[in-house]
Amino acid sequence: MWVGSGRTSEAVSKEKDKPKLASAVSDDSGYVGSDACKDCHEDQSKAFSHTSHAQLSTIRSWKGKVTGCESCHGPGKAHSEEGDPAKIISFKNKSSKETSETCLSCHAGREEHNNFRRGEHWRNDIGCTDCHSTHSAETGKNVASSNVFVAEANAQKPGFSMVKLLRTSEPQLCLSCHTEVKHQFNLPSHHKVLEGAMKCSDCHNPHGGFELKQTRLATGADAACMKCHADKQGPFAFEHAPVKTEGCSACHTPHGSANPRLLTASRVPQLCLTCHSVAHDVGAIEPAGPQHNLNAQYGNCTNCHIKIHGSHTSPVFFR
Amino acid sequence: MHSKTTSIWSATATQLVMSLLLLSSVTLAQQPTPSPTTQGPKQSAEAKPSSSGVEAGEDAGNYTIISSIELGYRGLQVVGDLNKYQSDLNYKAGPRLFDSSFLMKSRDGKGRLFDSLLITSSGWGADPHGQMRMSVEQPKLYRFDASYRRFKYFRFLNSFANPNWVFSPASFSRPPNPTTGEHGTNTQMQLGDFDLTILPKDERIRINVGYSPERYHGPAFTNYHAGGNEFNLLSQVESRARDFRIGADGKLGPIGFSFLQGFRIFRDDSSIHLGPTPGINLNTTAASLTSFNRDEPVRGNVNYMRFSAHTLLARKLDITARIVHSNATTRFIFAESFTGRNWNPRITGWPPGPAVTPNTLNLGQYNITGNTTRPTTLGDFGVTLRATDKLRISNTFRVENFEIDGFALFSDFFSITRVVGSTSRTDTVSIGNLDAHRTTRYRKYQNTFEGDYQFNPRYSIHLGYRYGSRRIEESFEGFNLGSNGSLTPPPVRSSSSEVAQNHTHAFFGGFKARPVKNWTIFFDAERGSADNVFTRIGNYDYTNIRAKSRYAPNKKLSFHLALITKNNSNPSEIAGVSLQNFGVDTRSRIFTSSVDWTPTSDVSFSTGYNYHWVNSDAALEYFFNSVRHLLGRSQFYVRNHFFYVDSIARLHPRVTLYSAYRINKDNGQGSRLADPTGTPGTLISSYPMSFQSPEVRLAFKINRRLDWNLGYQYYNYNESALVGPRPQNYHAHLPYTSLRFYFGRRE
Repeated sequence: MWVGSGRTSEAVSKEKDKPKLASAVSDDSGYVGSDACKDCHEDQSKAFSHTSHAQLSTIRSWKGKVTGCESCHGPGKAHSEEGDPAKIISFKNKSSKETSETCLSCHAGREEHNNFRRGEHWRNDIGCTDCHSTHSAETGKNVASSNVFVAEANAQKPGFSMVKLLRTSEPQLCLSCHTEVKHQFNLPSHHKVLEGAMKCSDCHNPHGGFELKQTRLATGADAACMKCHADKQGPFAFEHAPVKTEGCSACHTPHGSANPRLLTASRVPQLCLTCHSVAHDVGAIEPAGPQHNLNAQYGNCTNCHIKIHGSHTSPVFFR
Repeated sequence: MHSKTTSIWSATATQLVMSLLLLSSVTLAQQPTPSPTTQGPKQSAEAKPSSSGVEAGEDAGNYTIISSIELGYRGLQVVGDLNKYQSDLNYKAGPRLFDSSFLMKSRDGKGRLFDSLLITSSGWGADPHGQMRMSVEQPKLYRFDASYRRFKYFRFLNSFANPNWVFSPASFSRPPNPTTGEHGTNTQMQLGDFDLTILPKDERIRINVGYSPERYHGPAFTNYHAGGNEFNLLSQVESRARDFRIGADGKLGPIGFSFLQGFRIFRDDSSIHLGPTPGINLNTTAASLTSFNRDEPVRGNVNYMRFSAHTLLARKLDITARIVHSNATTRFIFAESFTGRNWNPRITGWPPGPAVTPNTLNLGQYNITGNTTRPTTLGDFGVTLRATDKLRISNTFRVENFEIDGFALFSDFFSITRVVGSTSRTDTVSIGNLDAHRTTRYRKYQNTFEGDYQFNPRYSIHLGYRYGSRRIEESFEGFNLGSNGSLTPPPVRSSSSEVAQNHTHAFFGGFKARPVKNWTIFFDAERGSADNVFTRIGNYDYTNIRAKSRYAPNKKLSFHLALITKNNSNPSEIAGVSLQNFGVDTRSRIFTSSVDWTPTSDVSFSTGYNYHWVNSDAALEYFFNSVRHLLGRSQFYVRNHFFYVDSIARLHPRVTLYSAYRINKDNGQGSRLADPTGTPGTLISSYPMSFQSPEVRLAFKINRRLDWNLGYQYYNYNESALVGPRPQNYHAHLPYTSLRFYFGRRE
């Protein structure tokens, strides 16, 4: 077990070599079991008892291992006997990374969490307990609010967040830091995240992963977008190469835009010509006149080049 | 219909009253009777408020239930552009399930069938997007997560119009209604994800099985440039994908592993079957269709495998490795046949003889078959060394490789009858089995070396360097299927190949600081540059900076500030000479601020302001009125202000008021105007518009199980004439009333 703080690390890891039952009677190991915590920490114990963490002691593969309060807080014998706060591991004054190390000692090794130590959140010192409440989150209350989940108040719906012990439900949890995308989800063209039809974590892996922007992969190695937009997945006999090499976000703003179809520019010809100009001649063919007259009524590239994401039958994406 | 006043006050008083009565009876009938228990009924937790959420709920046997469901009716009135309203919002009048949540949790963590069950849903009925998610778990045995979502897409916009177009050519006899509907859709997408984990909390092994169906279908317009005209064709889109997954993760000795094998099956059966169809150019000498049929079935599958492993050595060295391999294939048949008039088959040298038009196209056919494969391999390897308690050093290496091999076999057939002199003449031509092969190979290496140092719980920094190398090779061999072939000379094979490479160097770093207990500052920056540009809209020479501040003097009040800047400059070159002025320069700034305040349990208040600024400037070549502008400029602007305020106030123990206002206002290009005829010419665009939505809702508590809600939401969309020749403005009134039934309500 690798725990960030030296003290925590030693305290827990040494004991792991001789594991004890959480409910075991106190012995030389210093573990007293979670029952001993109840007397003083009634609220936390009660809340914790409803979490899946609390169930571990009843699961066969965890038998003989430290579970319950002491799996994170270390042996509690000295603390329970003397009542000295200094004699138990507390996370109040630990850094996010130190706290996260404790969580990772069990949760690392799963695909979802494997790269947390090298992810954006780790890099910026955002830890597990910034989003999760290990003692069980509040289940919230019902209040009158909007059906567009822009406000913090909308998180107050019971039960939304208790799954996975989130402090509050998505998307408010994510938007509480990533305020810069809030306006994009309120633009005319947007993914329906604030409406609840999608979640941030449908496309992003908050625990890191190997992708930039912590995006997820779909069907093996494809971009997260292909999870839903399967018709763009191909492979096509005639690929529009940037779709694969640069990604969808080269032309689309995924969160929201005033431009139709979430495009990065309001005019399709200008978006296309940015690459397809003689000013730049690597791979992109510049359109010849006069059929590409920008004064034509239908001077929109995708009016003829319909299958712009790739075509099975037309090298110029006509059909 | 593009602009009309729609009065759908279908929520007449009678309907409303009937709906409310019906809902009341339904919801009251739904009040569950607490299950009998051997311990006898327990006092509702409502009677004993607690800081812990689990205290809420009502007992049902060995379970506690917290649930609410809101059902109601919404009216609708849209004034203005209904197409744009439906494209943006598409809320309909009618009964609606606003949202529901059902949480059932065992009281002692020893539920027999399950320990917790959570079902949430929203947006069913008159909404364009609905979702239902379910999560049920018995930690010892299983966990099942399911979601089902439905989206109704409606797109009918003229926003794709060309702002540079001047309505004058007589040959274009269709009124100035640019492109509306050429990409119109009225489709639906349904998605599901069903994942079962067996032994979810077992440390040694956990088995995962998953299934994800997806369907996209409905009518959609598409365009076709053929025969010398453009045709707007109504197609029936129908595609399906099914994804099956099975895998396991667990622990073997010191190594945690995760394995997944997946199969996606994809099919597309979109088709077009139409009768007489005029072209966009209505000139009688231009081509028109008397019939059109297209079937283009596509079958595809993706087999994919992912394996990852993780270990921690000596409590200091974290090692993670992952390999992903997928093999995607598609097989397709394209069968198209059409008849028409004045057809230009665009086959060089055919038909022989005098003038081609007027003519009758007796039959035109395309038959194209083929297949494509795309094997992809992705490998990642990450190592983190805890050098000291405060210092960690990491290295992450990635290799990505894919090759797309496309093959198509092309045949066509044309029969045309013309008047030649005093008689008619019929000519036929067919070109068969022209093959084309297109290959795209891509290889990427990327290595990231970074370190982070934790001075103390309040201060930390990180620094890193990322190197990337990419290589793209595109090659072609075969016939040009972009043409229909030629008689003289006969079609010839050709081949071409192109290789591009680049190397990117990027440095990044940042810090987190907590100068005082309740104030946290985040800062990070990245500077990268590449020695070659693949596509100018990518990031090749960039500087990104992000700074955020969060100040929360207490649990009831927090202030957020953030500034994000991105500068991306992609120089280009001609004949190997780098020309700064031929590049693309894109800069964006986002400033955000927000305040969240909950002074008492009865009042909460959130407000914020965002400003989004974008300047994009690209050198490009374009044609305008047959003049080739070799060095034009393309500029795109965003000047968007977003403001929102949300508040909730309990006015009376039985009355709660929610009120909100949100507005996006983009001033776009301001007073700048395009000058496509200038030297150099400039193409300037933006999307100046405002989109605002005030909302108010009053909730009356009838009793502890029932609330009656009255609400009103208003949307107002206004766009500048710079967006298109006919602004697609609308405003919409959406009053609603609903009943929310509670079970296990937490006060």
